[in-house]
Amino acid sequence: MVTELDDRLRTILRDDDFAMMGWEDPVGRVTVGIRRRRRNRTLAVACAVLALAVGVPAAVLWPSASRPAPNRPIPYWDSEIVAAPALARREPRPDATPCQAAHLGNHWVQGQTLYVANLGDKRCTLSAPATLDNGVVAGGRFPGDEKQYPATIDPGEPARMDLVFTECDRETSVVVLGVSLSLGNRCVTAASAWYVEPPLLNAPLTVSMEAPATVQRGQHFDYVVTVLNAMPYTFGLDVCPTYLQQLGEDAKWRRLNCAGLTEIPAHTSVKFAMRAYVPDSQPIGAKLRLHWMAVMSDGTVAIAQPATAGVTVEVV
Amino acid sequence: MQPFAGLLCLMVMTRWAAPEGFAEFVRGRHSDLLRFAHVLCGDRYLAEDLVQDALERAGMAWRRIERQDNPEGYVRKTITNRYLNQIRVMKRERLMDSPPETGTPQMEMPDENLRRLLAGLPRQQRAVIVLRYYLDYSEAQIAETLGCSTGTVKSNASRAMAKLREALIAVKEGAW
Repeated sequence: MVTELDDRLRTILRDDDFAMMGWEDPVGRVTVGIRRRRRNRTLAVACAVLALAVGVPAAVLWPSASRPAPNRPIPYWDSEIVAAPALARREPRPDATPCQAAHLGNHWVQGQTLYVANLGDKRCTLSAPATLDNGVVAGGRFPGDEKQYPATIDPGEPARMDLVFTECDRETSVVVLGVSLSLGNRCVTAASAWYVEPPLLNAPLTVSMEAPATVQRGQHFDYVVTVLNAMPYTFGLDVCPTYLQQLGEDAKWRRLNCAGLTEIPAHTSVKFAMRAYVPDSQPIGAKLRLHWMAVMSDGTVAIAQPATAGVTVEVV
Repeated sequence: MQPFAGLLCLMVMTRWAAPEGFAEFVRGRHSDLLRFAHVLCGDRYLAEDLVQDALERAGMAWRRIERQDNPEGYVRKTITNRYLNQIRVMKRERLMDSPPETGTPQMEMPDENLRRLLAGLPRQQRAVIVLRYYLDYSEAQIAETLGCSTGTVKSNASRAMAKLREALIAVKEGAW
């Protein structure tokens, strides 16, 4: 079975559908792009020099409340907050054409939620009623402010349905658009309408972490978070951001120590010293994921190392 | 200030020209790189942007890259990482995707559906699959390209294949 899937993947990925026409003048095209980058960089340098020539005397004469970004990490302070901040998410989408039965191939249950992916090649809205084995019709809204109804989903994106169930010794299913979706050994007594959980909106910042590879249980460990403003404009910090630190299952919200910083200048990074605690109960050898996410005053987020959703530390 | 202004003028006036080695590399390899980017991201226009961006970066660092003796590896790595780190303004992806518990398609599993399932994989998993089955990279090479550990590569590959394999098994055994 594995061999068959391996072969099919190799065949699909080498299919002519992925062939692309070569560029007519590839060297010319790339050269134009490089010249544009160098010009922009030269302009940025020129502006920086000009700003320095004008700005330094001005700063001396008119000192502002905004301190320059420090080079060393801003020290950690333990400022735990109780209430999680509101997170900005994608706005509700207008309804699209209804999803068809042929779009509902791939589904799975995780926790208390049924997921059904859109296998079509266009956005569609899934709002068709779903019926459980016991005749109950799924509908209504379970708690959760971030949920958006109905489920308007892009290709590959899943629609969700919350379930209330108990484990039982027979296999059950839910039927939608004439398609029977297996729920395994779950006897469902109630189910919500289809919804999406829209993604968070990102602030234009890039965050990376440097953490030790190994940590000791029952002890704190220090790590550094670097927040980079790679944009050609200043990023304002009207309110010092809060952040979520999660090590394994243990998550806490805190306020950052901005140390008087009110903005991050263009093309500048700021380092923050962080500290986390490894509970005594963690077994030796456990590999824990360390997540870190800052939340700005407008609810946009900056997530550390989003490609890997954080870094892994090993308990030794 | 005057010498500096002079230097800036010189920088603006000196137009960059592609070194012959770089020009030859771009002419010879850009089509394959476009195809690789298309396999990776599934979108022709994004593929062109990724390759253009990667080649521009390579051109600006050509002297250093040429010395490393694997410019193609460098460019493929740049394409892959730019794809993974792309931030789209109003359409953010979930960053902590979890693998499905079960996958039970009710239909036959032609290559078209397998292609769609591939398109639906989280970016990191898709990148691992493409690097393994399109470029035949080893786990170590994939890890080096993605800047992660071989453990992470194995974990992503395993999750991706589990999703695809379960669907295939379900079809072979018939619908539930």
